[in-house]
Amino acid sequence: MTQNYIIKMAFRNISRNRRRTLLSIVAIGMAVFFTCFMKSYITGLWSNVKGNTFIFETGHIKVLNRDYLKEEKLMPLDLNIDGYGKDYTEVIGLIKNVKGVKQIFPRTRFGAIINRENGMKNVMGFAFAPALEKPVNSLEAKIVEGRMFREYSPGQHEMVMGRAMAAELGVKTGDKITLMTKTAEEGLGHMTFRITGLSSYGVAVIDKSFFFISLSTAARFLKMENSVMELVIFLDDDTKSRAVTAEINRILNSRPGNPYQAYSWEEQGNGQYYEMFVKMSGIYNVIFVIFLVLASLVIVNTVMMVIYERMKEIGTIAAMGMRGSAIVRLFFFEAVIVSIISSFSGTVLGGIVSYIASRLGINVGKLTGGGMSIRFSEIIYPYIGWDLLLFSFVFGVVVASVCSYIPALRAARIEPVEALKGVY
Amino acid sequence: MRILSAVLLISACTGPVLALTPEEILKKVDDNQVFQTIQYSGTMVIQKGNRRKPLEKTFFAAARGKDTFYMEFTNPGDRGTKYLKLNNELWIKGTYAERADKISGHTLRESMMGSDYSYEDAMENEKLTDQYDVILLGTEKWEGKRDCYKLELTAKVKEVSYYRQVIWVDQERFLGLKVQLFALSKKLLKEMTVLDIKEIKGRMFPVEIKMENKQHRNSYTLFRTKDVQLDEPLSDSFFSKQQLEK
Repeated sequence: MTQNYIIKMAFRNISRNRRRTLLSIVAIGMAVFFTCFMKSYITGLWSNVKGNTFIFETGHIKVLNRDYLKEEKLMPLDLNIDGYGKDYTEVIGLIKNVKGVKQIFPRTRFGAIINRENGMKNVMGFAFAPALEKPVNSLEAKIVEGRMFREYSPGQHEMVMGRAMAAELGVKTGDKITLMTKTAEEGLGHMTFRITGLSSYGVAVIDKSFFFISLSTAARFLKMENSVMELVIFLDDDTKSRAVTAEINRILNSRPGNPYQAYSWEEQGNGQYYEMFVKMSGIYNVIFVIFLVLASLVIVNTVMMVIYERMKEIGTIAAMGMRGSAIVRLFFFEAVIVSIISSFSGTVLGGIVSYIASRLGINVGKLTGGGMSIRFSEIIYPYIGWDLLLFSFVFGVVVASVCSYIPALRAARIEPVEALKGVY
Repeated sequence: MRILSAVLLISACTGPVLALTPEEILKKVDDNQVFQTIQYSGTMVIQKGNRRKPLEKTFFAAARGKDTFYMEFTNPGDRGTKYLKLNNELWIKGTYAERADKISGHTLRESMMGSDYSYEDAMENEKLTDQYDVILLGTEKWEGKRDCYKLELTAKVKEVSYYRQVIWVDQERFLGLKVQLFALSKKLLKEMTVLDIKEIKGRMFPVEIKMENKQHRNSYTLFRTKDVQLDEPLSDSFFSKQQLEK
């Protein structure tokens, strides 16, 4: 029996019982759809966690004053980066041409206090160069009301505040607010700021307790005219962070009495970020594998039921002289055709839903209560890409086709009489 | 204010007094802190461990009685930073701020301008006899020079910064020459030592004090005063919140 004839027969069989075929397509298609969307969501979530960690905590590499980490919890601003006699740009100049380094962002993070009628509120200041950071961390794009802060000039002290923090404090754009902090010279930083804009990163901790100012304003507020707390480095490829860190440290240490050190994201926080990534990656993989298994079971169940339901038909065509290998091929082709149609449908549907979700985002803040760490956004943007669609499609086709082969093989080995009697 | 203004301890006493009870000794120490007005220039040299250079902060201070106190920093890094204590409130005003802020809550326990004095230390103004039970541990010769009563003070009210204090009181001047400040856990938190005393207007006045933070190695503040003027008229503007916010 020729291959073409078997394929024609497979098509005929599929169109013969349309209701059965439709049910199979729907079942397999739904499994592929959920697989596609789940992978899209998990990839988006993972990318979000990594992104937030890199942007707000570790960068790919961070250069710090060597003594800073010993007292990190106290955020000692006097243990800063002030260059080798001039200012922090000297350090940037030394390392900016290291192979793999894409961007270097000078930043100062610090704690501050807002005095309110009902007590004091601790907040986090984030001083940075917005124009420089725009490709990675665009605050301007996160402003939901008002405008970006401007650089310092006498009498012009501007800030952008997290929207949730503004709501808690009962302030709005245009209002003035006075903050206190400890300066790098262990003195009192006390400055009145005008709130020019409210931001929303969709990260509860940031929106509730962060405010943003320019480095030039921070220079006056914190008495850090020539210094910053850290240099945050982003690379072309974050997997090369250890090698690039070693090279940066080699260059820094070539300066006599160098007090600075680079730390890759893997070694920051005593390796807690790396451990967290490994653990979370493991958890996400396990969740995804469990989901794949469940989706596979749906597909396997559907395909096997279709074949076992047709045992008498198999006995008939075997009694009419069709060989076992031809029967196996017939059912295999049927499964391949059905799985291609269903996987394509499931992938298209999954792709559309994932695309829409990747644009609009999924608000998980209501589920979590909004009190999660800095690494978790309240709005997750699922991932969408050709690799996701290809994976979903291939997954559906392969699982359905392979799973059809096993019962078809078994059916082909059964004696026609037994198959016709329904004894198998 | 009592601890910070140990510089303000003024001895009005002359000659040793025999057979005093511990309560009477402590009352004399309390009484020594009474003055009409005081103004002076000062320097705080702050050493924070071995890894940092000492910070030097200069200031002008003025006080009227025990409840009003004004301090303005004059060193370049802190120029324009002002503190005003009015009764039980401590107000601050920085160079870039448009209003004064009241220090309250847990912030009161934090370091004042990076020194080993906390805001609470600066705020203290109750009499020791009102806050502590006292026993006499004995007499000692302090640094081989001065005969001292060694008193142990244990808090009898909750609202104190230090649960226990041990004070070496000069038997002749009733001036605390050394004070050890302990937490409820019996841990020694700080130790204050008078390094130099000068006679001003017939009163013995400590012009240099060392406050050591015993929780950190080599962490101390040297508090030096000069140009001390006692009981001279002071302008009301020093002690006005409106003036502070200008």
